[in-house]
Amino acid sequence: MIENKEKRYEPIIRICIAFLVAFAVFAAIIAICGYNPLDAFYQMFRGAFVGKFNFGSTIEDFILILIVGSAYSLTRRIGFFNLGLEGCLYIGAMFSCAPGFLLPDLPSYIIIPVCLISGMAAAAIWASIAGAMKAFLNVNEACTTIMLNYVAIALTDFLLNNPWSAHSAAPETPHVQASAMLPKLPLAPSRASTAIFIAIAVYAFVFFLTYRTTFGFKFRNVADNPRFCEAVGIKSKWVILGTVILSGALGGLAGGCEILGVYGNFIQNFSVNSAFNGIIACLLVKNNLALLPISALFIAFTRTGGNGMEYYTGVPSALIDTVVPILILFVAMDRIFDYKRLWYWLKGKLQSRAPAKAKGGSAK
Amino acid sequence: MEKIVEMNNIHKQFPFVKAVDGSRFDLYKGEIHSLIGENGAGKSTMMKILYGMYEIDEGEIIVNGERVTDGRYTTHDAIAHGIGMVHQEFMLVKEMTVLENIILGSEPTKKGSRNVVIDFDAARKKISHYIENYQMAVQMDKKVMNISVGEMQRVEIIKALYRGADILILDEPTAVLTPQEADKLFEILDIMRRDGKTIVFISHKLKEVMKISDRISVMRASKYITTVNKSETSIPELATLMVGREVFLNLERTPAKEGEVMLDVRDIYVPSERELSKIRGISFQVRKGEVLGVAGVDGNGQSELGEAVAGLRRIERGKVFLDGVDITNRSPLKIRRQGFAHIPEDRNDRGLNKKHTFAENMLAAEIRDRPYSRFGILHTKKIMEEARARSERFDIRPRNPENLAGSLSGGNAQKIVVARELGASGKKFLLAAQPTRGIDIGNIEGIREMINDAKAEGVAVLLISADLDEILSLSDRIIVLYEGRITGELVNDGNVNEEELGLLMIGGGKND
Amino acid sequence: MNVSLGFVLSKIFTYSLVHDMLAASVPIVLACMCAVISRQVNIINIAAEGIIMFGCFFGVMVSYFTGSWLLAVLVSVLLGVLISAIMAVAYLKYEVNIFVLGLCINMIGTACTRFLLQVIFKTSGNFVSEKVVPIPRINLPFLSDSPVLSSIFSGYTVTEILVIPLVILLWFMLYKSVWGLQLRSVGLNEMASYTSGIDVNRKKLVALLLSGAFAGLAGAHLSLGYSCMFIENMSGGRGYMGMAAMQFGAANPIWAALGCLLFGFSNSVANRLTPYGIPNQFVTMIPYVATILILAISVISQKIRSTRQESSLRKS
Repeated sequence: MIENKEKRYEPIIRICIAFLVAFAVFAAIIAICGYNPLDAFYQMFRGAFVGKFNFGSTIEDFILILIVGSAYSLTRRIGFFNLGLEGCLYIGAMFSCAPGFLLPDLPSYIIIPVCLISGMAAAAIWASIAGAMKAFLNVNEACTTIMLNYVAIALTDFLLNNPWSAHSAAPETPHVQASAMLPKLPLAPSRASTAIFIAIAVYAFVFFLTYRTTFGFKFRNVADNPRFCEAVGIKSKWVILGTVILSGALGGLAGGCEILGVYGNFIQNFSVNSAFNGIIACLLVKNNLALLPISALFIAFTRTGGNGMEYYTGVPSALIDTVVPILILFVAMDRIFDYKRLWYWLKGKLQSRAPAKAKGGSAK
Repeated sequence: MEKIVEMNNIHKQFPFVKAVDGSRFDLYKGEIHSLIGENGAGKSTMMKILYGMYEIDEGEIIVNGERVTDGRYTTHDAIAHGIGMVHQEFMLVKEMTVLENIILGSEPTKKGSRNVVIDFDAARKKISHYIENYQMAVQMDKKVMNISVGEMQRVEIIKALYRGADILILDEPTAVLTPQEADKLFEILDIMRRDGKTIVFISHKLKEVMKISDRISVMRASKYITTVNKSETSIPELATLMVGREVFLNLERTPAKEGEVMLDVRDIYVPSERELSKIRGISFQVRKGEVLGVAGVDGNGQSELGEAVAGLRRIERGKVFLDGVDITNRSPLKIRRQGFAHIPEDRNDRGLNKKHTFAENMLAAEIRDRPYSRFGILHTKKIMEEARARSERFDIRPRNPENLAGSLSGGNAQKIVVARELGASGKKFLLAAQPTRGIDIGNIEGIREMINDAKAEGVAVLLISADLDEILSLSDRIIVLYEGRITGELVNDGNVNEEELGLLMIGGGKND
Repeated sequence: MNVSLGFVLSKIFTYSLVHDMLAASVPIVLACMCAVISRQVNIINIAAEGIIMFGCFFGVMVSYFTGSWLLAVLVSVLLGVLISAIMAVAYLKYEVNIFVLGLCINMIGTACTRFLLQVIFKTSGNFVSEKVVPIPRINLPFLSDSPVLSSIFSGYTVTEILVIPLVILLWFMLYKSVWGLQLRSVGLNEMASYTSGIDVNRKKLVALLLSGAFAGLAGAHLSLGYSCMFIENMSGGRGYMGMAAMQFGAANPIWAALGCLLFGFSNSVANRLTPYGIPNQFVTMIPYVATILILAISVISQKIRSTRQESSLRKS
C-alpha cells in the first residue's frame, strides 16, 4: 500500500496538538515562575479583546501583520527567505512620511495615495537589491536581506536626525499634514485605523495573484523547478526579481499604513522587529494563504494579550515572545505529534493486556 | 562453484512505483553475471539494494552465507562484505582530487597520529598497485572535474577495488564509453575474473552481454524472469525475454519532402562545463518535413547543442536562424514564439514540474496566450478543457488533468511533454532530445509515431538521441557528433552501415 | 564642528587601533567559525545570533553565581551544543527548513534571555554586577616600557589568544585530516559520500554540534571577555557578520578569519569616527555594505572564472 496517502484532516489535528503542547508548556512556565496560569490566560484574553482600546490595539497589530504576512507569502512561495521585509518597512515608512510633511497641504484623496505610493516605490527599489543579487548572482538571500535591514535602519536613522529632523527633543521627523492621516476606526482611544481595509485588499490581491493570474502561475513554478521554467519560456530570474520587488513594495505599504494610520510621524526605532511578526504569521500556517488571516489574528492576540498579561499579572511578555517561535518549530515539525502511532500503540497495549478481545484493528 | 550472494523474494516500493516486485538474484564466485532488462525494469534498483543503498520492504539477502538483512544493512556494511559498485551517475566529488576521491571513507592514516592525519603516500602506493595490475591509468592529482568520463569510470573502479571489493557491480558502464574504451574495459574485467573477482554487469546492450558474461539474468517490469547460461542462449532469445513479446520497432517512416530550410546553424561555438562537450564549430541545416538525427556517444556535446539552439545556453560565436529569423542568443520565450517546440532531454529536470498538475504542465508554454489567460488572469475552465482534449489526443493515462505530473509513469509523463510541444498549432520546428529515454516499449512506439506524424505535417525535426535504433528508424539524414564537432553526415536510405556509423561516433572519419 | 580631515585621521589611525580591531574581530571570528563548519557540510546556519545570546546570558549568569569564568565559558559552550542538538534533530529528522529553524532560534534567543533577565535578575535592559568575573586578560610586563608594543601585543583575554590556534586547528582538521576530508565530501557531494560508506547524517550532526559550540563560545566571550555585562540584543548582528565573513572566505577558516578582521577594522573605525560629527549612521553601514559588495564581487569573479573555463573558444 502507498503510505503517503494521508487524510486531509490529519495535519490539522497534528497542528492542533502542537498548539495544545505549546500552551501547556507556556502554562507550566508561568506556574513555575510562581504565577497563576489561569489568571494569566484570562488577562491575556482581556488584554486582547475586551474593551475598545484593547480590541483596537489588536486590530492595529493585525493590520501590520496581515500586510507583511501577505508580502512574505509571495516570496516564501518562490523559496526566497525574505527577512528583508523589516528593512522595506522602515524605508516604506520613511518615504511615506516624507511627502506628508514636505508637500504643501493637499486634499486627502491626493496626499494619501501620493504618500503610500512613494513609500511603496522606495521599498520596491530597496527590495530589488536583494532580489537582483538572488536572481542574477544566486547570493544567499538570508544573508543579504539581513545586512540590508541594518543598512535600511541606519539610513532612516540618518534621515530623521539630519535633513528631515523635527528638531525636537526626540529623534523624529515632523508630523505629516492632518489630511494625510487615514481616518481612525470608531475604537478610540486605540489607534486602529481604516488601514484595515487596505490590509484586507492586500490580502485579497495576493490571494488572487497567486492562484488566478499568469504571474502567479509563473512564480509558483519558479521555486519547484527553475530549469523547467527556463525551458518553457518563463524567465525565472526576472520572475524572482519581480516577486521580491512586489513583496518589498507591500512591505513598504505596511510601513506607510503604520505612519499614516498610527503614528503620524517617523520616530526612531518605531517598530522593533515588527515585520518579523508578519513572517511568523506566515510560517505558522506553513504559507497556507487561506489560513493566513486567522494566523495573523492569533499573532496580534499574543502581542496585545501579552502586554495585558504583563501589566496585570506581572508575567513578562518576553515569555510569550519565547513561546511563539517554539510553537512555530512545533508546527514545522508536526510529524513529531504522531498521534496515530500513539493511538495504535496504546491500543496494542490494551489488547495485549486483555487477550480475550482477539481481533481488534490492525495495529501497524 | 560456491554461491556468494543470494537475494530472495525482494520487494521494494517507491512512492509512485513498485520498483522491484518479488525478484531474486544469485552470484557464484568468480563469474561475470549480467543483469539485463529494459530501462526501468528494476535492474539498477535491485543492485542498489544489494549495495545497501535502499532498504527493502520484504525479502532476504545472503552474502557469503550470512543473512545480512536481519539488522540494518547500509552501504557501509556492503563495503565491509566486499561489495563495490560503479554507478551509472558517477559518485565522485568533483571539487576534490582523484586521490582524495579514491581514499574517501577508508583513508590510511599516518603512524602515531591516532588515525587523524591522512597518509597520502601510503595511499598512492596502494593505488599504483591497482593501476599496474589492471592497466587503468589515472592521474591521481587532478581534480575530478578536469578528467574525462572514461577516466572517471576507472577512478570509480579503483575506488571499489581499493575498499577491498571482491564483488564488483557495474551499472551500465559502457553507456558513456566509446567502443574502443568499452573493449578496453572488457579486457580489464577479464583480468579481474582471472584474479577471482566476481562481477555483476548491468546492461541492455545484448552484444556486449553476450561477449562478456558467464550467466545472464533477465528482469522485466520489476519482476525476475529467468537466468540462463551464455552458452545456451542467443541474442534473439534474450531480446524476447527482455521485452516479453517479439516487438520490432519498425515504424513506417514517411519519406522526406524537399522543403525549404527551416533551421540553419552556422558555425556555432558553445561553452560547456566539460572539455569534451564544448561545441567547436558546427554547421548544419534542417529542412521542412525532414528529420535530422544527431548520433553520438553521450557527452560529446549533444546536450549543449540542443540547449544552445533552444536559447538555454549561450552561443559564443556563430549564428542560428529559424525560418530566416536570427534566434542566436534570444530568450527561450522569443524563440518559442517563432514556432519552436522543444522536448527537453530530461523530463524530470527541464521537462516537467512534478509538483504541479498535469494541466498546468501541459499548457505552461502557452499560459500567457488567449484563450488560456486574458490580461494576465487565468481562464481555469479553458485550461482544463484543453488539457482534457489533449490527454485524449495524445493518449495520456490516467486522463484526469488534475493529477500531479509526478504521479504519472515515465511514458505518460513524457507524453505530457510531447502534448505540450506538439499540441499547440503553428509549430515549425521540433527539437526532440532523447525523446524516449527511460520509458516502456509501448509508449516508445507511440512517441516515435507522434514525431513522425509531426514531420509528415511539415515540421522540421532535429532529433538528438543516444539510441542508434531510434536515430535509424526516424531520421532522414544523420550527423554524428564527436567531441563537439561533426565527424560525418549520412543519408539514411535504409542501408546505412552501422560499422561506419560506429567509426564516426568514435571520431574516425571516412578519410581515416 | 569644524575639524580638519587630517586631524580626524590622525586621531583615528593610531597604534591603539590595532588592539581595538583585533578585540572587535574576535567575537565575529568565533561566530564565523560556527558558520564555516556548518557550511562545510552544506548547511547555511543562521542560528549563530540566537546561540550567541544564550551564550552571553548564561556566561554572565554562571559567572555571577559561581564566580568562575571558566565554568561560565564551559556552560555557554555546552548550551550551544545542546541548542544545536535540538536544531539537528529538527533539521535532520523532521526536515524543517534550515532558515525557519535559524530564525526561530534567533527569536527565542532574544526573547528568552530577556525573559530570564527579568525573572532571575529582576531587571531589564542590561545587567552589570561586580560579582560577574570576566575572562582574565594576559599582560606582558616586559613590554610595558613601550606603549606601542604593549598596546598591540598585551592585554588580550584568554579567549582572544585562544582564537588563533583554534582557527588554525580547525583549518588543519578540515583540510588535512580524515575527519575533515569526510566532512567536506558530505558538503560537496552527499551521494558520493554515502556510497563511500560515510554516515552522512552523522557527519552533519557533528558539524552542527561543533558549530553550536563555537557560537556558544562566541557568546561567552562577548559578555565576559569583550565586555563584562549582559545587554539585551547584545550580539548586535555579529552572528550574521560571521556568516558574511564565511562567504567572504569561501568557508575556508583562515580566509574567513581574515574577512572577520575587516569587519573588526571597520567597526572600530566607525566607533572612532562618531565623535567628529561625521554622520555616524554611514559609518555603521560600512561593514554591512562592505559585506554585500564582497559577496557580489566574489560571486561575479567566480562567474567570470567559470565562464572563461567553460568557453569553447579557449584552447584546451
